[in-house]
Amino acid sequence: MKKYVKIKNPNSSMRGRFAVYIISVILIFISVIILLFGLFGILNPANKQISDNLDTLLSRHTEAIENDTDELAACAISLAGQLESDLQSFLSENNLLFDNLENNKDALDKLQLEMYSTLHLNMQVAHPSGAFLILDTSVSCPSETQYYNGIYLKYINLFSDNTVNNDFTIFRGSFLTGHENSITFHSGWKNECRTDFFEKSEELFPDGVHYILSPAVEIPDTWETARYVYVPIRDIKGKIVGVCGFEINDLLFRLSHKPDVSELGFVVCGLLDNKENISGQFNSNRYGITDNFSYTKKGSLIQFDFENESCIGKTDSISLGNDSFTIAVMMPKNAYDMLLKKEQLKFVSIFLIIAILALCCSIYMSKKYISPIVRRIEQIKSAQKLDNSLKISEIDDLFDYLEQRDLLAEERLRQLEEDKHSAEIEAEKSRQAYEAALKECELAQIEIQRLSESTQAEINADEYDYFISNLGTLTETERKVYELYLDGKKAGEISEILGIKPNTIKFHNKNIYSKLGISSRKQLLKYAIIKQYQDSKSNKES
Amino acid sequence: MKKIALLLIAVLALNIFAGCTVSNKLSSDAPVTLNMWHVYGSQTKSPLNDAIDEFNKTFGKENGIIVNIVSVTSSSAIDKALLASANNEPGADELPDLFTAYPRVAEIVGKENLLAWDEYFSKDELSEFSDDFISEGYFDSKLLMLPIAKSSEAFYVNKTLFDRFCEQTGAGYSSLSSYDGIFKTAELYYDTTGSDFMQFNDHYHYFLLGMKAAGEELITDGTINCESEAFEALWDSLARCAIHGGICLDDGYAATRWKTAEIISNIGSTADILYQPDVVIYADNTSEPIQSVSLPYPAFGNSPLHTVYRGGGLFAIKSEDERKNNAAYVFAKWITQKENNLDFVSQTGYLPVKKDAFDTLFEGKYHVESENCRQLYETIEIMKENYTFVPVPLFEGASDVQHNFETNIKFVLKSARNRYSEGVSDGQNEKQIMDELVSSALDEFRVLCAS
Repeated sequence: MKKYVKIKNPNSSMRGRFAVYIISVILIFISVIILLFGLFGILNPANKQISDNLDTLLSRHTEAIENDTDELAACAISLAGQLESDLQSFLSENNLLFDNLENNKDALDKLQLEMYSTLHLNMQVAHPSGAFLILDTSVSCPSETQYYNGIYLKYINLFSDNTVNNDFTIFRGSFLTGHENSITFHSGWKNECRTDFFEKSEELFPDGVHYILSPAVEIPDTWETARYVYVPIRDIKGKIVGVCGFEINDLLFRLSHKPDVSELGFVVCGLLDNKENISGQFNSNRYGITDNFSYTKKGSLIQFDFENESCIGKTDSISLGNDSFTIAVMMPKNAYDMLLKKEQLKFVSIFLIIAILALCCSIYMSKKYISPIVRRIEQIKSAQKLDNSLKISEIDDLFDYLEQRDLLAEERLRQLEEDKHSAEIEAEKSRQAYEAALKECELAQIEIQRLSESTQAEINADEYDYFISNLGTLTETERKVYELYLDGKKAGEISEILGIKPNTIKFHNKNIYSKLGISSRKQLLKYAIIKQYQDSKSNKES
Repeated sequence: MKKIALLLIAVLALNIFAGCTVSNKLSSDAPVTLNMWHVYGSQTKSPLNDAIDEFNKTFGKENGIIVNIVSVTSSSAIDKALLASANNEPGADELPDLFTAYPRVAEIVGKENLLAWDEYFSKDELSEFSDDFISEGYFDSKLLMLPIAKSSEAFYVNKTLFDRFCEQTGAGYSSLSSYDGIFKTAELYYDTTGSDFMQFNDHYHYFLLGMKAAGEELITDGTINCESEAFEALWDSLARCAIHGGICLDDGYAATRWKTAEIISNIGSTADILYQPDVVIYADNTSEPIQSVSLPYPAFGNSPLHTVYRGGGLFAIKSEDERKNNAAYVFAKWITQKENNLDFVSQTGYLPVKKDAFDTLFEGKYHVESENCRQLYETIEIMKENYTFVPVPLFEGASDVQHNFETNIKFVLKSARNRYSEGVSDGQNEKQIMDELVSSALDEFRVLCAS
């Protein structure tokens, strides 16, 4: 507003006005550009960009996790079908019922040998970190600790995509199964697994539930954490007699869903369990992730607080198997803050650069176009020899025009001076005529005085005194008639002026004459003039 | 005014485009991830993983380095995977950024592909390492393998079951100080229980140290010296026991057989302490808690005492991204620092790699938490005072020679054992058939070694 006022100020310099105009134009231009950028999403607020990028990553990971889990579930369902077939064949061939397997070490060892190849083959197809089949029976029933019989195989080298030649170990299973198939024994190997390792219940698999994805749990006797995709194994009557499925350990999760290194930096993804104590699997061990961490909503984003670090990210809910899980993507909070500041700084910097460029541009324009004008004017003002390098046709035209105007003004001035001289001569003549007239007037006055004095000497003093003393007795109409006579009006004119009949005038004349002691209009005028003369004389004296 | 404006623009432009520049410096905002395969730990427990977790949470986090453990496995599995990766076999993954392995892998991966640690560690830093340990890592005057933990060999005994056996047979620990005594005990154990007494993790080391004790070398000009009398004598002792029964000749590590009580002792790395189970599980699913004891490496008669120091080191794949190379150096420096190195090795039966840490451990200035490990370090200290530590020789093709040696010796002795068993069952003279098989097995072995 001040600038605007300054522009309006007629005293501001041409250069100042020019610079302000240029800057204004450029700033308006910048505003339009920024507005257009904003409209097309090029200059979105930094946090919105981050939020959008996190959304994209979240969506990608959600889809990938869903697909991977579904694939494993499909393989598990296929595995269960094959194992059910193996089980039925074995029981038929050996004339056994499932219940007869309990404490029957030989039968269970043989059954494991039958089922091993099915399990191994399916593990090679599904490419999990491990595969298992667990039957609801044991070689040691009853005992203090309840066990399930079964086989649990684990890959040694998960980094290899080649599942056919990849080494694996037997983690749970009979010694015979390991030995007969020349499988390396896991250092935490046991021949059966505790019943609290896997849950089994008809209730776990109600109608419509095809598989279960377990929460992330620590695998006993290892340093690993894993989830399990598992499905029921049923006997010929449809009763659940065990479960089978695949293991997804932390390493497999990390290898399958590698962290994203994008413009957001290092973004970690996690599949979280919706439990009281939030835990889950993450695709990086970066944040010193602990089983218990918290997350709180911060606007459209979520803040995750780990033991050693806070992260900012997004979450989405996903239904896998019979449970719902949360998928999260997150980046370190300090990286988020820095990115935000960087984007803001970038925006401000771009704006500043353009503003400075505008300023420089206006200075340049001023120097290029205004300075020569000013210097030319200075040259012209100081009457220096004009430098042709500074020649500006518009200015020269302007000065030619001004010169022309000067000449015209000089001519006009000269004419006015001549007029003035003529007027002075005329005035002198008038003054002389006036003085002559005044002299004539004085002579006339003197003559009048002389005539008055001579007339005064001719009139009767008593009659004149009577005339003077009775003037006040005249009526109003008579006075008007008297005054009109003094003005040189005749009786007819007075009759017209006063709107009265001539006879009435005569009547008034008669009264006036009578009251003033005179006999004619001539005498009346004579006395009246004397009176005026005497009145003026006494006035002068006073 | 013009200069100031230009300066301002330059500063702002630098500020804006600073994020676009590529820096070799490590930064916590853009961490470098190093994938690592290593052998230091079992599937049950890995103290190196714990150490790396600590690194990632602290020093690594500050310096923008994440070490991602992709595999904890055996050295042979790493060899196999590295070979597959190096040959771009279908399904093989990319080479890891860091891996621990024996010196033999330098040939597999290609020396030119490996990071030279001496280009990153200063001379002063390298002088802190034990001279013997670091000298093993040089290939063509480049330090390609950095020692982070070394091991030796010891004799482990399942004390619970051996005590029971001693009560039963009158055997004793005194016989376990030499191979002669051990082989006799093994035969007695086999005769008594029908099970093998022991297993060698590396028969190659038995011959290497036996030859050293006899004043000879197992490897001459890159080949096995199996023609000498000293070799024949060592063969005779071992083969008689193995053919009779008492030494397990099956593939695989001893730890699994300990777990099922198929054997009750083994000669193996001091790092095997990590794999020693504290419970044995029998075939009927019953289990029994056990105690183990580690004994010094057995003597060869009255010859001077020798044992190996073994264990690989840390290799890094040379990266075009200099930040990765720097990150590898920062991690290697951290894991070999005295405190970090002692925390890691003391839980695993390994030896620290720096002179200062070595002295601290054996002067009792460092508290080893595990009782088994404490007892092992006492054993190592005895060996440190009385034994000569011998490195496993490194030569071109050493990996194949060692692998073939193990395969061949198990093959011929297992075959001889089967023939002996059949012969004895057929009523043949035990001594005669034994003599014949020991001799013929040696001939077979020599043929196989020569091929």
